[in-house]
Amino acid sequence: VRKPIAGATLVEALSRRVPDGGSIPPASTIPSAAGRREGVVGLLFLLAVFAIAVAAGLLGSLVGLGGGIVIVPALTLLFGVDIHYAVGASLISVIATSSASTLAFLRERLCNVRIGMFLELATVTGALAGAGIAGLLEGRWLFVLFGLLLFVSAGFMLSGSRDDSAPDCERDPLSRACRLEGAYLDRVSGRQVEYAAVRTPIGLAIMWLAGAVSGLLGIGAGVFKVPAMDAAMRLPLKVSTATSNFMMGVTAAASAAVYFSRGDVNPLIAGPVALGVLIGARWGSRLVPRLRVAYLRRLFVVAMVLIAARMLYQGIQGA
Amino acid sequence: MSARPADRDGSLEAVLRIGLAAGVVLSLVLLLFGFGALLLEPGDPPIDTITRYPADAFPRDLRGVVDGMAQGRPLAFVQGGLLMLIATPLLRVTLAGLVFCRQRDWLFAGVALAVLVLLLWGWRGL
Repeated sequence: VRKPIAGATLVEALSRRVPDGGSIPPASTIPSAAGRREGVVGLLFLLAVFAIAVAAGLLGSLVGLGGGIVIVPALTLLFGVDIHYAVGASLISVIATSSASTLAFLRERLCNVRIGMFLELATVTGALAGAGIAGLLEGRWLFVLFGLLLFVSAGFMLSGSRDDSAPDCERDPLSRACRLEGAYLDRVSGRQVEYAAVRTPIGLAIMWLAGAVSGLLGIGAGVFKVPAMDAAMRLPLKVSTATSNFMMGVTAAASAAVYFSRGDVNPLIAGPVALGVLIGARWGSRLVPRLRVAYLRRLFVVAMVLIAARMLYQGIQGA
Repeated sequence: MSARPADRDGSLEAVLRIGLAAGVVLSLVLLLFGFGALLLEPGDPPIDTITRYPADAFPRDLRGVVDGMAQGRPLAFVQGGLLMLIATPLLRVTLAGLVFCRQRDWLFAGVALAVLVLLLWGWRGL
């Protein structure tokens, strides 16, 4: 187990999760002579977490994943933060980026609120289940699961292209009854693109799983949500991405509340993470059109596999 | 099948946009105020401040956050900002539900209500 930053006994106490019924040492037990130094270390800790969060948000938006997949390994492996705190902080950052990016997507009219709201029935249920399970699991199992998630996400990023060869499906009764359809103006062709959902039950099932992974590991789970809409339900990729971003916040809000009431949203970690990821993601979305990100994506996949191995190792060793 | 998707008139998006923007701005104000206050605290920021919560490091429910803010504890403001951020999607779902109602789209008003109930189920501990 890696030690948190040297000399920071109180920071260490903060990085460790307070078990239910446990407590942080009261002020009187803290040697006052050490106060000044720890105050400075505490400030450095806040700034370091903030800087890492900016980097995570930036990197996440450049490679097309959320910040969560970067921030959880960074907090746990670099700072020795308890993984429950890391997941709690990451969930908050998912909400922040979702709310901020939805503002832009709503303006573009790409996001389909009806389809999003309908699928949220599945993701929110999954998220509540995931958050509940995370509270019961020891940290080491979360490391193992996160490692596996990173492997799966790396696989998704490598395969990338969607399977367009499948024959067009008939609209299912659910899609018809709920009018899961829409239209948007394609800027490139200047034409109105109309679409309707197919295979809605499969979409719902994948969405439940995406919600559960989100609640369990504190990620937006766009890596599952976008294929559920784009590949399974045959919605246009742009609509799928925008709607997935819109849904992430609602999904994460369900599990974040569970983490909050469990005491797993630590303000000294979640605060700088929320601000940092938000700033980084905004910055990244402005940089994307000007950068060639294909090379970065390939590099990122390698990094993901290495981090996945590291997290699996830590989990199996007993974090 | 209806020829016109229900939300094409854009009123849904407009209302959602206002709700979202208001929630995000308010939570950012609370977060920045909390951290600002933490740094301006007399004594050694920010670790000392935490130890003013002897039983618990930080508030973990709505009541604790409100009480802490009333007592001027910087971390309570940070937690308040985070809680506000968690609440923005709730606001978003509520607003969407109201717009569905106004459009007499009862099916989706029901869907929004169901999502809201599920979210509140997650909030029951707060």
